[in-house]
Amino acid sequence: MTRTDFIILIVVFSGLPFVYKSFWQQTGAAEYANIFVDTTQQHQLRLTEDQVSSIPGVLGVSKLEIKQGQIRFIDSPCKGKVCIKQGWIKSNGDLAACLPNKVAIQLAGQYQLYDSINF
Amino acid sequence: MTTTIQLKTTAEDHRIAWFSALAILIHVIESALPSPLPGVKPGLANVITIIVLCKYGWRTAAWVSVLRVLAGSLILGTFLSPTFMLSLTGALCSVVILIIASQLPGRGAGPIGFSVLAAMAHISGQFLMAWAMFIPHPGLWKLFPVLLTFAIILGIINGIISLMVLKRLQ
Repeated sequence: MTRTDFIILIVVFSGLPFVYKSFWQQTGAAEYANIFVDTTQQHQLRLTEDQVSSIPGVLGVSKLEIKQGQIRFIDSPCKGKVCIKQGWIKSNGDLAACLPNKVAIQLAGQYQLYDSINF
Repeated sequence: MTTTIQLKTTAEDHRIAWFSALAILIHVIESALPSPLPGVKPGLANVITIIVLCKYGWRTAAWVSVLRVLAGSLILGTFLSPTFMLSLTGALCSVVILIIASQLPGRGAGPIGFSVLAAMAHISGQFLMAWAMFIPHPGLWKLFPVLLTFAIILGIINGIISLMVLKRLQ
């Protein structure tokens, strides 16, 4: 073992955690929420700005809340309130929808992840 | 009338041939061993490359390394297949890094340093090749840190083997 060997090993082992960090970081983070009303895209909201926005659907106004990179329905003029019960969605490709009001949210980011996979 | 063609061979040619033959043998035997994880191979044939590098310099080592991949693929029937492409890319990348490493100032690296650097260059080159030619999906790179870790560990083991062999050769 020469000194150069030793230096090489130290550099290699200290660099290894950074390799893991840079190759395993989450690249699928959502950045935008695309809002669809009656199947056509109406708005694009940035998930970085905390806000409550009102989206007029076919029955009435749906309210969406954005907080800390997540989004959820907080109010919708439907009976079942399935959309509200779904709670926060935050990952790229995630969907939430209020079908009676025909308002849907799909999250998107720099890398488009799959919306379905089959084998 | 027959004419005899005389090929002038130097001692260096013989040395390359013998060491290549040894490396090819190890390469072929190793290919029969089951791998614990796809993509992980001990790469024991590289022990020969490192020994040759330390004893005879990078030119001989480069010859042995590339000839081993070529002849090994012919014996195993993988010539010009994806396996061969990956193997050759890995070997060429290791040779390049070994040339650079053997020119380092001072006493230079020993077998362990050479072996680790070559193993890392080998797997990095293979990943670039696999990504460029066979699996152009960003998901491939998720596997890179894992295989790099194995490359480093196996590189150290190969380096230790080379060191032990070199000590006995002296």
